[in-house]
Amino acid sequence: MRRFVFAISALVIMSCSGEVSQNFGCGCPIYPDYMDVTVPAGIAPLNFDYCIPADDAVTVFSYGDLTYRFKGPEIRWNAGNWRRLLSAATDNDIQVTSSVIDRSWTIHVSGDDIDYGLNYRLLEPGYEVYSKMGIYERDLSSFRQRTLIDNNDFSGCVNCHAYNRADPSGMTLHIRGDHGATLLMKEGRIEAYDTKTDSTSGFCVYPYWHPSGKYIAYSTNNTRQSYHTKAEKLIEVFDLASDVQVYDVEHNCLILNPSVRQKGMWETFPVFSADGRTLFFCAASEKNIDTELESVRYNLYKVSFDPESGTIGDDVELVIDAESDGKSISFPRPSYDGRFLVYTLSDYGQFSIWHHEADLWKLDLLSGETSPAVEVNSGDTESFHNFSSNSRWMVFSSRRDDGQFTRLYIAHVDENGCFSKAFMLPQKNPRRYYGTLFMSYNVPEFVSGPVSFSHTKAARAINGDARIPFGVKHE
Amino acid sequence: MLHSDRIICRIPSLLLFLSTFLFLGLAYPSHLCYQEQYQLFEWTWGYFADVASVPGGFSDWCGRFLTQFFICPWAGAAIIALLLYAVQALSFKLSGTASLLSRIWSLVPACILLLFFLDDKALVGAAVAFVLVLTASVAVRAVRGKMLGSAAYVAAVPVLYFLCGPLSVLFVIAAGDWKRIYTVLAALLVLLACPFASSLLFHFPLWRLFAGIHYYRYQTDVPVVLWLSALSFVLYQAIFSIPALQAVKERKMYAACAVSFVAVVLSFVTAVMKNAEFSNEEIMLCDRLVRSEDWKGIISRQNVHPADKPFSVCCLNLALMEEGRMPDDMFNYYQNGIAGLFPPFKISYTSPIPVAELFWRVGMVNACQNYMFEAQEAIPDFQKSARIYKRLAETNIVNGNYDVARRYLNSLCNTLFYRQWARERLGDMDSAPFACDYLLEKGSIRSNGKDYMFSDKRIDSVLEIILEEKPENSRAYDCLLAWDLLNKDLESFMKHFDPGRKVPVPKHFQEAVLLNLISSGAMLEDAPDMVSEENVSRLQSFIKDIQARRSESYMHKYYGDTYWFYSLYR
Repeated sequence: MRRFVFAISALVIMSCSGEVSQNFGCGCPIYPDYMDVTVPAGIAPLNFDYCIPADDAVTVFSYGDLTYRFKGPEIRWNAGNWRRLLSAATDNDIQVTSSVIDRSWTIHVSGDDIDYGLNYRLLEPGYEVYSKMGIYERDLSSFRQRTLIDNNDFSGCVNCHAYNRADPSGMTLHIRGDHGATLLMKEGRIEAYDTKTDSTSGFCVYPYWHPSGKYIAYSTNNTRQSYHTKAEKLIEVFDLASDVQVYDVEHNCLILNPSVRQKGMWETFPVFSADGRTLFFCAASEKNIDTELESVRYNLYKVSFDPESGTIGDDVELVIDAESDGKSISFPRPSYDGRFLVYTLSDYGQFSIWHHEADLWKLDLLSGETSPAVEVNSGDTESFHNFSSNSRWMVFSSRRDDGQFTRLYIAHVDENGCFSKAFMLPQKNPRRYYGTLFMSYNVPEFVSGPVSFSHTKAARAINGDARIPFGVKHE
Repeated sequence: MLHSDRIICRIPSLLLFLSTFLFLGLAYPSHLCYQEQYQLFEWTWGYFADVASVPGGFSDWCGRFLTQFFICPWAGAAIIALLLYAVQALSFKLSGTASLLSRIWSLVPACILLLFFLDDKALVGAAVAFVLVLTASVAVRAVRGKMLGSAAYVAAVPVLYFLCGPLSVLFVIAAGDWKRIYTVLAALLVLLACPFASSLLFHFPLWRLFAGIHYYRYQTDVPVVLWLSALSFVLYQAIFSIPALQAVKERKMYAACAVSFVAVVLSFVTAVMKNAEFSNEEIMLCDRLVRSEDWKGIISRQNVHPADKPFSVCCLNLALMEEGRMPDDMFNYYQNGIAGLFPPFKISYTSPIPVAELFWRVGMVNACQNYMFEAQEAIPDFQKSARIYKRLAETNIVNGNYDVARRYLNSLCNTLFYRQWARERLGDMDSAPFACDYLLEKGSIRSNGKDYMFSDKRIDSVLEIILEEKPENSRAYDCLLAWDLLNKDLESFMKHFDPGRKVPVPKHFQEAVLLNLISSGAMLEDAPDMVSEENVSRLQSFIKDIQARRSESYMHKYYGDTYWFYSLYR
């Protein structure tokens, strides 16, 4: 009874109190850390909150004749003012001063355009069971996020999705669960495919479009998950087998070549070069996972691809020998201008998302030099990344906030491959939003326009029994 | 109406309230706690917006608000009883009759709703939606003026659909002026359009927009009993609108009332007894006792309801471990192998929880976190669990992931019943040195040196490693030896057994040592000193009875509390 009385009293008290929100123990006095970042002119307002006592703070943004003042600990922009400031300051720096921080900082407004938005998966960073998840689209010029598909539409798990160079008209999306299928969206039509064939070891998993749109490189992965017992490590995702193949979209057949399906090797994460004539992929020597998990290390390889004939070459070539440095490569992503390739480097394995030591590295495709992308890395995981269609922006996921929930960051990349300091995906009320969001951002992809995706059609295709089988072409 | 008649007329309603209240409070308390366990009601605008922004979301939010009080089962019983009382009272009012007969039959929708709540997947939001649409019907009927009334009636349909979901069909039927059929048809058309319009805005299959999104926890099932209740409301309204029924003579009316009352009560008592999930109640009680750490309560329940399912056996073994009685008493009770100690992981929102509690207490913090997290992810309607949030906050504190722990604690700070606890933990974390002694204990017993990948098939190896690093972890020691005994692996038992660790040597360990002795061909006279004479002579009798080919029931009667019996007969 006392508890009940307490509950009623608490109800009255709580109705008068505000929400409790996360105050991340960030080293930076503001959250998100927007100090000295480079942003595109079309980005949504960089609202932020002070992480230090700042009730009386006066924050001033100025460029030329334009000056905007904010009082208090929460910086919330009027969209019109923000746009005015950014368009005036394009290719220049906005100066920011604060009465409670003893240094001023800048926000550089780049003249390089960014795509319309981002597509990503949101899900709880868990083990094998999944609760609510979906693929969402975020308009980068505002805070608007819309659901493309989620598992209210069907019973299952939405998995890897990919667009061709941010083109929203074509998408591949893998669905797991009882209604497992690979959805292909081509010019508004959505069809469900069965990508498992007698000649391959499983479903097609990690996709990457050929620049012509005629092919999709896929890996087939026999993936397992387990978890560590040490406090600082958590989940481990590993493959027991994997191969690479190319899907011919026009002829509906998988192109299988022994050069990327070698015995004793695990090939994964295939990506096409910007000109579509090279197929990059990661590969590791097969190991006994039970005893040698931490010695499974993936190198970066490449092989030629002839888009005219749809032929994978036999000239497999080692590009980066990470294994000999005691490291492992995952998620290679070439820039669309053909100049660079960014990959994730971790201590071992292929699923670097759960590795705190994972960092982004850059490979200069002209000189062959590789180096860490120090401007964007942090003390925690940096992993899955993608380039904007003009290759001037890179989105990547990072666990730098708290070590568990991945958030999206965007960095500018100049013609020489130099990265700016990355900025966190803006939100209207960032501390409350990110502090109460128990989901991780996953597989971010730029899109150049809103994706015309009918969730009802997709759900019908997924929930239906019809699956178009993949054909096979052996080389 | 005479005063005495008025009292008589209220008897059915009062009976409904009292019987529901007493039945749920006495026979179904763990079901009520179970409902509360699988939600996390946050008193924030964000939570409200998240829940209420789908068709039927407002009634769902109200239901969740009420469900948080189910942490006290009697409060939960009172809330459901009040909701059913409201359904009955509103049904009666909307019938427009005043007779006792009508009042008795107005019990039917509420009684069927009670049957709905016997199902642990039924959500309180359904009853709230029922009450809201009937209340709206009463309100709209009270609007004066034909045009205004009709306008309010039709305009209320989409609003009610958005607030309460498809149960708004009851509003269309109950609030409509059937003499002006075109308004009812218009309202029906509007209502039919609502799910189609919603399917364009919300990500739900059309059938769910027609059947209700948050009336039932399982997304793939239609809550048939709920819709039967709605149908009974419609039939009740239709039947009692027949003028002939209102003109029944008084004497016949009394007879009809008596027969109706007996029929309604008997039918529903029978239906309740047939549909009540008493076996689930027992399992939920086990879980509730684990949650409240009432270990003695779990053990004492064995005299009334012996554990016979992996879930309840796991709860029992956990209680025995916590009471330090596992090596002495575990075979006093039914054991079903290692599945009763560490049941293998199953995708479920209930079964991983007691195993997770066992992992937590043994020092397998990441395993506990995994099982708890997975249990929460498996909640079919995507809700979160305050109980699980508490444990996840603790596992993250022990693992040193303070920022992640703060996330969970901050969410719990937005609740009524967990706020104080969460604030205390936040205070502990902010104090220097770290002031949460019971968590420090967990941190000190967790294995942190050697890293290995967890497997529920190799828990013995995990326990071995924990003991290598922390030999003082007596729970891990008891579990490891229990694992060997349950697996009938005497070789491993003898390898892990440390005679000097517990003096006197626990009963089941002595039994295993003796069994190992005779299995190796040695004589019982060679039994080591740590084994009591009583156990030696009991084993001699056991062997004699085996040789005499005694029946299993005989052996169970005389040796059912021994490891020998388990070893030979289970």
